[in-house]
Amino acid sequence: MISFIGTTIIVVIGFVLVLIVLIIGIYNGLVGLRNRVKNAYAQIDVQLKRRYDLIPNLVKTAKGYMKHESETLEAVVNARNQAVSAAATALKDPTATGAIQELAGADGALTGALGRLMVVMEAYPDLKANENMMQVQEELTSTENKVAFSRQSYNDSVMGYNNKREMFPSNIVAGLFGFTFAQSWELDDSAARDAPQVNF
Amino acid sequence: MNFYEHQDRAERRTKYIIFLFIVAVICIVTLVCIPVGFATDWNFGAVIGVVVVCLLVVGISSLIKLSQLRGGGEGVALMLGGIALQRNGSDRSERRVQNIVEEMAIASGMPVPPVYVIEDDGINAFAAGWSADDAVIGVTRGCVELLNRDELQGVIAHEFSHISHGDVRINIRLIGVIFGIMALGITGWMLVRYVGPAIVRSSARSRSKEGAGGAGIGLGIIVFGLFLVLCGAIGTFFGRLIQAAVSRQREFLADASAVQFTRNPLGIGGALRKIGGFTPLKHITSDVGQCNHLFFSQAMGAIFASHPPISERISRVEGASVENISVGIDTTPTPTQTKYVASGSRGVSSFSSSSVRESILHKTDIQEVRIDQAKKAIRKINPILLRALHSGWSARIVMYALLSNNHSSWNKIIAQSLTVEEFIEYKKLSKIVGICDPIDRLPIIDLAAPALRSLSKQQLVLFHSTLNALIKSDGVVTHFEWSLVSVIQKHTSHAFGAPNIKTSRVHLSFYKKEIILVLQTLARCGKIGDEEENSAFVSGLKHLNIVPTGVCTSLGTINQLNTALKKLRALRFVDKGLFIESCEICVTHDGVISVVEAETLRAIGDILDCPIPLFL
Repeated sequence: MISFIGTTIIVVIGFVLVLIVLIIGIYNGLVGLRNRVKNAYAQIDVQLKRRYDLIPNLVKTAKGYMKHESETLEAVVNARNQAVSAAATALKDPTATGAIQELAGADGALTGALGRLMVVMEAYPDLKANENMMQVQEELTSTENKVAFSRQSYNDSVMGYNNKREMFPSNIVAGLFGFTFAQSWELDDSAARDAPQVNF
Repeated sequence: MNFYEHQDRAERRTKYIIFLFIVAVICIVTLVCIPVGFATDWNFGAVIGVVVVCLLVVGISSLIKLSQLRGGGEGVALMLGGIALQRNGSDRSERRVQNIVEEMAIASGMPVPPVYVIEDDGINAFAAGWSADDAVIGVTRGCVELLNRDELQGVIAHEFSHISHGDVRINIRLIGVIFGIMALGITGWMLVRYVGPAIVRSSARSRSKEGAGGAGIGLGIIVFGLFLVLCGAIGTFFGRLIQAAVSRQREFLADASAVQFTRNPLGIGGALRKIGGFTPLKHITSDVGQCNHLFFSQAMGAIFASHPPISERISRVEGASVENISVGIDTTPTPTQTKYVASGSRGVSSFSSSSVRESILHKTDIQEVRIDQAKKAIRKINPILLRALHSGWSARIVMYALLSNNHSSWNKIIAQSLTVEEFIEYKKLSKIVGICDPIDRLPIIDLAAPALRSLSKQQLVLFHSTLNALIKSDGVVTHFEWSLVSVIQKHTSHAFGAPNIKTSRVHLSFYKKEIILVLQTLARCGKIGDEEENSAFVSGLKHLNIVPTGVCTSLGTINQLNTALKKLRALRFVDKGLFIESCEICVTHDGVISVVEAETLRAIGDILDCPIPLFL
């Protein structure tokens, strides 16, 4: 009698043990993929920081020439500050819900504001020819290219993580331990697609 | 002992370690069987059942861990929660760490490994990876902020020597196997804490006769669980003991090598003193415990000492006995020199044959002289180019620029493959690369490695196909084109999964065909006239005691060359050493080594996982 119960218990325990080991394995796999997303985001972050650091310089140079365009310039400064804080939040945990969305929105708004500034600048040829201004603009373009490229890599890592998050059986483990879905940073440039308004 | 002997010994030791762990597992399983046997009156089925279960647990968990670690160095870094240092960042201390790592890598002829930072205030570092192009370096935040340049250099040199000695390969396997044994303990713990009490509680609530039996079963489970914990702990204890014994000797060796690197015992001594004032890593997760032996200093308490005591390490390094470790924290960073020295020299340069020979034979570990040379080589590079090399987007374009020739077909493909923005950058970088000394091409490729490794798999596929299209565009693949593309593909190969290279046990002469093909290719580049070529080729073969059958025939195709090298990767490291020596003889036959020959030789070394330190 005892031996029969004993064998059943052992089988059950064995099943439980294997299950636990599998759970640990899946959990670690999710952690690894999530850390990969964080790393991919860090690549974007360094370019964004560079971009945001260039803006005060740009505004200062422009102020010297554009004495009556304070509104446009202020818009740029405000958009930049918003983007900086959104980026800081995202850096802490890029997989937190809404973090990337907010950042994408803030960065898009900044791009829009910069675009309008560029159009206004057309009326100030001296400013356009300014050595410093040209350098800053070139660097801005360069960082924008790098951001776009890093975003591709980021989105790829997000896809890898989200796949594992969604598939069975890892979705169960993920739900148990609070793994959220990461968001990709898609090209939602509705802000940039708006034709900038120019008021003379 | 040179590089090849180190690597060989590391491979052999790995097998020994695996054997030891199998013995440990058998002991534990036997131990587990004893109480079960008594409890069930030695029922055959029950005992077999227990054995099977234990083996399953250990086996499955080890397999899971090992498959995770197939992610290689990057996998380990991600598991520990590291974030890769971004180049072109604004933090001065972070840039200093990167500069040091770059110098070391170029001096040792390796691609620059990415640096991962772990947010911990303690001072510690690790190196992980299956081979040079999979390697990563990890440092704690404390390392970045609290060490001065000399001390940092000592620590990084220590980690590089681990990579060079093949220690990292042993270590990753150790993690996998230890985890298996720990898994037994963990599951036992689960039984004790959750499953057992749950059963006892639920049966206590019911008043029926079955309930009373249930309590007994619950208690039995708890006892069994406790026993599993005990066994897991014993197993882990022995495991760590072995791990420690293996590690400890290697740590002394690594320290000694680091001193050789930098000729500066004060550097690593200073680092050790600073560490002496700190408690082990505060953030002790179970993951860290498994990686204890990977770290520079004690990551966990002294019970599991995988590193020798600090005072002993300091005294060995500084050559005097150290009674008290005075804890002085000197946080004045030494100023980093980042002078840009313009170099406008053009033309073909060459290396002396004796310097090449010394590098290949790895007569000594990396010397200070090489690090100075590496610094000079980096400073020669235009800062715009350096910045471009530090981001994935532009690093690719630098590679295109390096390959560019002015053929119309090449220009057509470039115009087709690049976006408008990329093309503008390409034009800019081509101008800069055009005035670069050909000698500087090798360090440029090494410096691009971490940025290229950060590309996603899809981006890499596109990059490789563009490179291949470019080199084939004019119908001829030059030696330099082949070297560049092969090296880049090798450095980024881990994105496509770790290769399964089984070391072959057969003799070197078994690969006669492949060896002849590679030596022919080497003999061909940079030689004038068939006779020269032939005698160089023959002398190389003589070194390996291989007699060539017939005269040196026409070159094989690129594919044949790549296949041959892939086969040669399976050679034992000692044999690889011999082969590379024969390559060197072939190349130095005429007493002078052109840049093209050096590049091809370096590429061959890279593909065979044999980093060749910088030629002086």
